[in-house]
Amino acid sequence: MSLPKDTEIGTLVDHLFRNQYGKMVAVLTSIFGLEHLGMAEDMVQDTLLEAFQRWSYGKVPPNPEAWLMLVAKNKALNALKREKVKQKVYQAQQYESHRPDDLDHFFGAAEIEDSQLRMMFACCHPAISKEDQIAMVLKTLCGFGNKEIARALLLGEEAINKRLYRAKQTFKKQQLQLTVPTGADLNKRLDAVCTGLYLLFNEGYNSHQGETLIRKDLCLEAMRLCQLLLVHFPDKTKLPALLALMCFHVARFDSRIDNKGALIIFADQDRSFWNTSLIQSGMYYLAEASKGDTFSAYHLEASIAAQHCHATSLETTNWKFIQTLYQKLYELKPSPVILLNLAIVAGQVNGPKEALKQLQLLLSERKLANYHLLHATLGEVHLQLGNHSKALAAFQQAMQCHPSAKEQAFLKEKITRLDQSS
Amino acid sequence: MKEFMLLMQGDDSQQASPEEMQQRMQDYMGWMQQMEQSGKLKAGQPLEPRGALLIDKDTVITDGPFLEPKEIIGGYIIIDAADLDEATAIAKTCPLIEHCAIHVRPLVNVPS
Repeated sequence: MSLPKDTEIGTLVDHLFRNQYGKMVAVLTSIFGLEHLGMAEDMVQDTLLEAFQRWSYGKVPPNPEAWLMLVAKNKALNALKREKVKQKVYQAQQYESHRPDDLDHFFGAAEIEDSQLRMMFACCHPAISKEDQIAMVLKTLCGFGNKEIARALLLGEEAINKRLYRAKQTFKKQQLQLTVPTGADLNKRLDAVCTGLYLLFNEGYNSHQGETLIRKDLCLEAMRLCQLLLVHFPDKTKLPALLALMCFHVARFDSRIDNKGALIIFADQDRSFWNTSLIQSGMYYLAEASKGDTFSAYHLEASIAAQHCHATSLETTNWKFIQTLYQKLYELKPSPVILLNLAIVAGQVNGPKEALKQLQLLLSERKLANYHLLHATLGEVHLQLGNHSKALAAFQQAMQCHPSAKEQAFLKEKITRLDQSS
Repeated sequence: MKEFMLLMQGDDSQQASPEEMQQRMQDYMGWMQQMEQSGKLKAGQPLEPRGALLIDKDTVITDGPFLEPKEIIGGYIIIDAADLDEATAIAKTCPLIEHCAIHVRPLVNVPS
């Protein structure tokens, strides 16, 4: 028997199991076909269990990733040897040319990455609904457990089980293949994958509910997958644009919450908490993104975020340029939320009166009528103009729009202060 | 000093997410290391989740997990302790107690 002799604990990388889970599931699914995803998941779970048992009693092998892959490979070999599975596999799958005992091909470093890529395209296939896509990406590519997905997306575990089941059924019913699209199809499908990753990122970034740690994980996972895409499609400038956007946002992640867990609005954020190395990465990717001739909403959103990261304070921010960028973004993506942002920027460029005009226009068109941030913004603008009673009414209106617990606390403080001063 | 066998029974790790599993493993490894450094750990081994169960000569259950998961013995370790109380107190500090039952059994020292 062997017992741990040296300090071996530090040798395990954070999230090693989770990350390897995603890789192994992708590889095994490449071998068995998308319709056998469930079987691949079970084999990978067994592989991790085996590691758990052996490593806790003995030493962690010098290369844990390779050890896991080898065990997974042996499990796949054993499964192929079992006649029943072999027949099923041969009936359905596209890798007939490979002899069952020759699996090495699937386990090369490049092929492992390709498997993940194929899996990304499968999970973000247009036949799968957007909400199901996010759950599938988290499960199959990021190795999250159903409970963790539920916690991250603020949903019940039952809802997550349903989403995953529905997506797997679609894989089977529509006989979706694990392939990377080519030719004219590629751009369209790549857009879908980008949207999927963008939504995954936003789930982590924009919600102010739930645990900060797990939400930040969602952002980092979206970045990791985006990087993987970028390595394979270096010419698609949408990818570095999206990645730049993610870098800039994550750079500011920690400054949005104070040490008591309360929300800090942008104007009050301590810029010294911003992660400069992530900002630098963002700048690098943004420069990469501008090398091509394509232009996307991600380019604009990343440029806007870059402007904020560049500026040393709210006052020195180039609001005029940000205004132009938002106007262009609105042309590409005409959404009322961008109009709200434009109103806020107008406040900085032309003063609060202009902001008020634009906000009232939004209100009169009944756009975003139930969006708490519209009313909260209106409240701020009224405050700046000295209309305290109108500000109070707006903040109270915002409270009616079901803001998150943290936002409620923030609004309550505003309301109490106004109540006291009046 | 007496020797005690700690038998870990019924692991729910099959249902754990990869992240949970890694966390559990690291917690357990850390504990095992402490046990070793304090000189209390004598031996230990994991058990494969398969084997054979002989009910009697004619009733042999083999092939694959033959018991309910909560009955499977996942592994054992042998520790030194002054008495059963101390051994039990040590078992309580094992992080696996969150996920499985632990038998604490004194070993009988048979003089050779």
